Amino acid sequence: MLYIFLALLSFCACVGSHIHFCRSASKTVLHSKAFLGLVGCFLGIYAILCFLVPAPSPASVWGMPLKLTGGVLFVLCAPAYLTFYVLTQLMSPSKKILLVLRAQGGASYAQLVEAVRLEAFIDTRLNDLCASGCVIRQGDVCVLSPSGKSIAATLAFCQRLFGRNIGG
Amino acid sequence: MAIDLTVLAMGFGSFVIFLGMHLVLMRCVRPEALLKSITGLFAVSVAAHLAVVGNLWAFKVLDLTTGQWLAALAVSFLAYGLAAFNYILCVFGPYETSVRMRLVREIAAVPAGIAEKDLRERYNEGVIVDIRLRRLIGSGDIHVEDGIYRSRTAENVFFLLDRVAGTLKTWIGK
Repeated sequence: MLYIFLALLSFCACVGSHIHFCRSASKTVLHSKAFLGLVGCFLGIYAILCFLVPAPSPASVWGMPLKLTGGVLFVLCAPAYLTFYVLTQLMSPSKKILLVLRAQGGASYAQLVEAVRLEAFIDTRLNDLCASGCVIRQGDVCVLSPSGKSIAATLAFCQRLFGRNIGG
Repeated sequence: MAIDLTVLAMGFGSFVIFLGMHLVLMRCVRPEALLKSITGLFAVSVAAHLAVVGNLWAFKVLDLTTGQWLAALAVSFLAYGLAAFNYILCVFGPYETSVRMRLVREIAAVPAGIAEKDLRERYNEGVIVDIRLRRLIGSGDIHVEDGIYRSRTAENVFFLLDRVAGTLKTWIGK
């Protein structure tokens, strides 16, 4: 368990470094790539620690040789943290509806549609897709770029895999 | 190394069970039953995980003490939980609920390109609300009475995730 502890400690240090970085960087954009860079660095630190820290007696719980498991847990923690990090800037339509219902005690269908319209989910997402180069605006017409077509192909594959109708 | 690989195999084995059942079940689950079915699947996979580890323990697959078996169970459960969490929130969730992904698919449906006006006719705020209401009513988070939608519960998974994100936001200082 020593190595699990070291892996989780390294991950906490990684998250701490990312939070420190975000506090001093621009607050209007997400710093996901910086986090991925930090994950690489701290995973390296964990690997070095595994070599440097001598293993205790393998007969005890603390001394269980779980170096690889520690590394895998570290990697699995990264997307979980990113999920919460993205949520710091992202409002989802479901959350918006629930927030409206909680704030007002109740709402009609028209009020919910209006609340979702005011949040401009479609405009902001379409602009994001254009800014990231997935969608190209040609006048009033939207077309997919090659990277957008790759995403669409992946989604079509997912639809075959999940056997579900289009979401959204 | 044998212990390391066995613990990982236990964790990912349970995730494979979860994934297999998920892929089969999602073909027949209606959108309104989605959230409940995922919770149910997770519970069934946890039971499967306990059964697998219990059998490995009973047949003494590894020469471990009781404390070490419990530690192996906890660590493999953590690996399974994280893998399932990441899959639901990073793979299946975006496919099922992302507005961006839906926009990409609507645009892809017209290879020559689609006018924004036509795009909004196919996918708009009304469609977004319809899909969410169906899902939230099905999960029991909200109910409708005389045309008025109300929260049924003060707490739900969205607020829980939001609270964690809110704490993170405070630390980041936004």
